[in-house]
Amino acid sequence: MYKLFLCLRYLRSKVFAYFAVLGVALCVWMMLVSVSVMTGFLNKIEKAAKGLFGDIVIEGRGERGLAWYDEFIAKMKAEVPEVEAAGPFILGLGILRVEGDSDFRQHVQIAGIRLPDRAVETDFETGLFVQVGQAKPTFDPPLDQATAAIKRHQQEMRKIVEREFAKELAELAPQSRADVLENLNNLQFALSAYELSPEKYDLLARIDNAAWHQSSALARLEIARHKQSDLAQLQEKLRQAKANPQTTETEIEGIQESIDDLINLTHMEPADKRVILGLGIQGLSFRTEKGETIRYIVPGHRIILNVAPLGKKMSLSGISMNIAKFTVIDDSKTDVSSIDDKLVYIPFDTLQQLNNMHAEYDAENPNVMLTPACCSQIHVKIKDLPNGQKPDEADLQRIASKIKGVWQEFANEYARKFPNDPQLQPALHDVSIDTWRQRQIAVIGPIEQQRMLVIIITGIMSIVAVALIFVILYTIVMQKTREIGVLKAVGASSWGVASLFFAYGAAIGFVGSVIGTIAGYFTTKHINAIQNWAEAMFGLHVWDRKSFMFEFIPNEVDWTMACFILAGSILAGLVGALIPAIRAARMQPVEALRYE
Amino acid sequence: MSKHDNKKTDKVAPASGSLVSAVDLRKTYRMGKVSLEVLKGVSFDVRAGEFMAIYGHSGSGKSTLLHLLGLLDEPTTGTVFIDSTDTAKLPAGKRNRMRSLDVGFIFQFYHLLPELSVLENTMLPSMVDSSVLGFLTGKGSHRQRAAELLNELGLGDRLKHRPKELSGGERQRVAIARALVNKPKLLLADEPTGNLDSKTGQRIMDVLLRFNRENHQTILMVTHDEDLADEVGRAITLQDGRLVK
Repeated sequence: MYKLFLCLRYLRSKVFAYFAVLGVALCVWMMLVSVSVMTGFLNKIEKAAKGLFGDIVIEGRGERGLAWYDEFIAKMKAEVPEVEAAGPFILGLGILRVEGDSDFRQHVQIAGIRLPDRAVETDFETGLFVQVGQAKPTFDPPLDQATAAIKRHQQEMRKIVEREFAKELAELAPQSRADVLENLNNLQFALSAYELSPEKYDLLARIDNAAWHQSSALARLEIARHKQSDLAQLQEKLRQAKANPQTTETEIEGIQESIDDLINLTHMEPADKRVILGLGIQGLSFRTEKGETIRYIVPGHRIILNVAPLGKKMSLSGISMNIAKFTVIDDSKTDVSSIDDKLVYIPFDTLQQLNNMHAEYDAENPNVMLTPACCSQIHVKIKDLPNGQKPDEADLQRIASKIKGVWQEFANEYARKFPNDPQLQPALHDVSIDTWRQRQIAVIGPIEQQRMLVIIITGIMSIVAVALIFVILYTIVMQKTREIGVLKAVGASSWGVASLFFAYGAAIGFVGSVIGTIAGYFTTKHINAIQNWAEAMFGLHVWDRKSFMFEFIPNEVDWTMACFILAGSILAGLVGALIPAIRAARMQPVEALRYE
Repeated sequence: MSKHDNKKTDKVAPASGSLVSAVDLRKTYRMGKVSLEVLKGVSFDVRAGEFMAIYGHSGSGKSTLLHLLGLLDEPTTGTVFIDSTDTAKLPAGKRNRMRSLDVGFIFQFYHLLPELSVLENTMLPSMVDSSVLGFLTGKGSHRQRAAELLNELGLGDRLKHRPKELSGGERQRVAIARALVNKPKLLLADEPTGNLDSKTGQRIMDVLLRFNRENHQTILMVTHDEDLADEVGRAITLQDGRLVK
């Protein structure tokens, strides 16, 4: 009993014990924050990579890519039971323009995807604007969903304005403040009449501009909603007309023209001409200093894509771009800035056409296929293991090699089928089948090494903490020599005295690591705010969005690591206490009492 | 270890009726090649309820003798019987327990723990003797016993004070309370007044005499002050490691 009691008392009354606690806390804090951030970063990469490409990626080298993909997917699903879902994917290059803005152009990567299949293969649906979290996102969602999303976004914009201009609002007279707030609700800003700093003026102008763009999209969506039934009727009429052999060309053209007129009015292209924008493309949105994104271009706007048809054989005279108009229907945020700032998603079949990867037939004999339809990649999602856990890298590699076997068989099958026609083979060049990790190893490898390095460095620094505990406890043992004699004189055993100092060391380790963990928790949680503050205060730019790919520093605490650190700190305390405790235990009471 | 296999020691038995028996105690300190024989065969008995003084000049070995009797040190040869138990044959755990329960110590320099209050210092021996659970359940009675004792010693209003806030005489009285809190059979006092002025020292002596008289507390005191030795019931004199009378 006295051990605990004295231990607490010593801890409270010895000022230099605080230094040991502080030392431990510092080490724990440093280790926890850096490891948490790095682990969080790795987790984010994993999530982003899986979210974009699935667990395993099959890719055909060369621009023609992979043919007979649907046949292969069916075979793979039948023969590899671990496959949960798989879908073809095309990556193309293009230039994005916005209708009505001849100044704007931006090169983009165009992803051809199948919806809603893709939501099964990847986590695509979690980052959507309109169809967020919906299990089956499509390129043709109900239009009122888009309207609701924009309205929600405008609500956020109002909050930003109210926050950023709280000071200016407070200075207004009550009556005019009410007017301004009223205007604010309609996103019409009268604040510009007041004196604002250039930055604030700029922000207000941008939000104003965004609100103006959004209102035009909202108006188009409203018209489209009203004209939806008209359009459906016309389309039905067109279908019937085409089915009826007695209809003349002129009649069909007439119906087609009315449909085109309607589309020009509503700006709502048919479902195969819809686009989901990456949220972060330069000029289509902007980011406030606090990190919120405000959209200029929202669902309801129309854009133009010039697609470079990479799937086509190139002649010396070059290639001409394929052009198509698309209606924006949603936007997607993966949190990987290098993807969000240049990727747009359109329906798979549409991009196949625009990229010239569709099947081609002999002009004279439509039954003779010249080239089969192709895709660039097949993304595969793997089922959870029977025990409910996510498959790890080793599982994925095992499954990947299984898929390789299936692919080999498949390729051989087609080689026998079309022995003289290489164009009809599944692939013209090598095919790689890799796990998400193998594809990202260039990014992941160095980070994992860095994490190890941080653990080692902070581990070495922890030796200093151990030494600190040792020195402090040793000093206390020397100081307390006579008191140790007294304790023994009143009946304390050697082990009892030793355990007093062990408890003391462990307590320093424990208290230190608890303080360090709490500090680490708050630092990690608010690391983005701290980074912003450091940037504003000292111009310190630690987290470069470009090189780290992500918008925000990961701020999840690595609790597994925290447990290890806690155990390690207590161990460090015990190690530091070892020699002092032994010394105290071996002290003869008489000598201890004589000690001056 | 050769110090306990002395056949002569094994044969002896304590005189009947005595609480403490020292039997042919010898203590030799080795300092490098030189060995210093501090006690050269000391035997005596202390009866229960007796107040006995060991008188001697400094360097006569009287403190060493007291430490041996209080089980703080082990004799080179010879043994100490406490309440008919041969302490030389006891394992370390039993010796610790005996030190805590059967013997109380008072030192010349008080040796109070500065981090603890007067009350906590007094309770220390009862804390050492009990586990956390045992202490918590018995805490009230331990506290009461310590407080009563301190009250009796005139320190009732000093319970929460730290030792450094007390005078020398008060500190020694706290040490007496600490020594007596477990109701030991034997109270050992090592120059209890050596660090006090004569008036305060006399008050400490009065306290000890009172405990001896009223509670029949057996006390063994070491002193180099002949007057003090005369105040108590019986005195033996130690000179150069031997009893002389």
